Amino acid sequence: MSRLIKEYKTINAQDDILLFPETADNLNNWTAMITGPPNTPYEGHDFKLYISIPDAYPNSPPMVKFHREAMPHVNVNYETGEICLDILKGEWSPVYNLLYTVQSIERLLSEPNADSPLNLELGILMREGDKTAYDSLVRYYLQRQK
Amino acid sequence: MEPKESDADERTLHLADAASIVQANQKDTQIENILNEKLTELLTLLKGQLFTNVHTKHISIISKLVYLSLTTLIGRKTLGEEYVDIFIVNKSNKGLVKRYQRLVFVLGYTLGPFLIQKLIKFWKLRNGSGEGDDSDDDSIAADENVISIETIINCLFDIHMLLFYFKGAYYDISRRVSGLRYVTGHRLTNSEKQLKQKNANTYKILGSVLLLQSISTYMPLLKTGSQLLIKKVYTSSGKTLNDSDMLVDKRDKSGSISNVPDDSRSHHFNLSDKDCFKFIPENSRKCILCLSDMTDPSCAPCGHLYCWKCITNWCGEKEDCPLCRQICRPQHVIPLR
Repeated sequence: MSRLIKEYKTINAQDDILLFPETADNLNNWTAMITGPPNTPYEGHDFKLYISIPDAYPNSPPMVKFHREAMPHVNVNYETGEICLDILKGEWSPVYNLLYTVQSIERLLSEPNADSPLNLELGILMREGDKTAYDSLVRYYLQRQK
Repeated sequence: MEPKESDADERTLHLADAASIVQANQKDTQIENILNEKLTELLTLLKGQLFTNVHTKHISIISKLVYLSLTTLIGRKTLGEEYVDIFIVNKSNKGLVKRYQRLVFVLGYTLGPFLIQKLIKFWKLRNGSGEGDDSDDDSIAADENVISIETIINCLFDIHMLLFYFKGAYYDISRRVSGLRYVTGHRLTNSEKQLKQKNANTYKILGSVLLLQSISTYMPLLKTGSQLLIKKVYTSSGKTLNDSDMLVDKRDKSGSISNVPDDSRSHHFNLSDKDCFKFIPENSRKCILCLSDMTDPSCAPCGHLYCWKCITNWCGEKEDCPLCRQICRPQHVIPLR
């Protein structure tokens, strides 16, 4: 647990990072805001991440989710917000920290991976190689939420 | 088991030997499995794969129940019993069993293990929730009770199997409880008798092996149990054990490793001390896993350094180096000295 406190101090020292514990006295639940990367359909949108830290952290990966029905992405389950990312599952290493995890998810937005789809609708479009359709469908979902 | 040549014994049938009981049981299991398979297939068609996956246990119970209700319960032989020509009689081999005994057996055989499992789970859960407000000592004691209730059940099962191998009467605990014995349905020829005697001896050898095995498993447990009892007696009589005795007591719980010194007694190398391992440069004296100055710096086969505790804990999770993912088994981690 002392490792989490150290991470908290480092994160707190930098003020350009939107990653903070939900309440100051409990480091087990965090939230993060990520911005849609430029030149992607997510540009101009902000997304909230919910992070919960298991007791075994850092030997077990943190559990990260988007808000439900908020993230149309091939590797995100739209209904639940669950994320399919290797480092959140079997490829986790205790060397990674919360900041790196959030940055990886941010990177996932610009580099979707068709091999492990959680959103079948988008997965099919991506496998077909229809980038225009993929991007438009994402935009449609994002518009609809507004 | 020695057959006497008197008139009354001429008419009573021979008790079945262990070999044929086991054989009948195997055959029955085989048929139960077939029934189970068919039932699963049917349910998959009707209710879908998910349903059958979730209810595997229940389906197997139901198929067993169906099989035994159609055979034993209504007083017919099961296919396995027919196969080796044995049938059920009561404890004293003086008559057939009553209907309620058969019912007890069928229910015990099918639902028994399932219910016991549920009961243990429930008991554990109740105990677990009550643990919070107990003092530390009490919760440890409760922990041990949970462990011992499972071992007691295992122990009972082993004793039952031992009895079966030596005496060859009841193959199932439920049969023992409801008093269902087996006799052979035909007169034995002399050569058959000899063969059966030989078989019984083989089973006795098997039984002795099992006896040895259970002795070796339960001895350490018994030792721990008796130690705990002694401790309780000591504390109740007002005497206190000295520190080292307590230490041995705690480590002995697992029944294997003892006399491990307490953590505070062993010497640790801590890199917050600047004079410790001077060859490690200033900027790499922190462990990347706990982000603190390393305690007992230890080297993975690839050369990366971590705290001993950090890297061995991680290796229990996954056997690779957190930094470079090369294989790193816990037994290959080398503490620096």
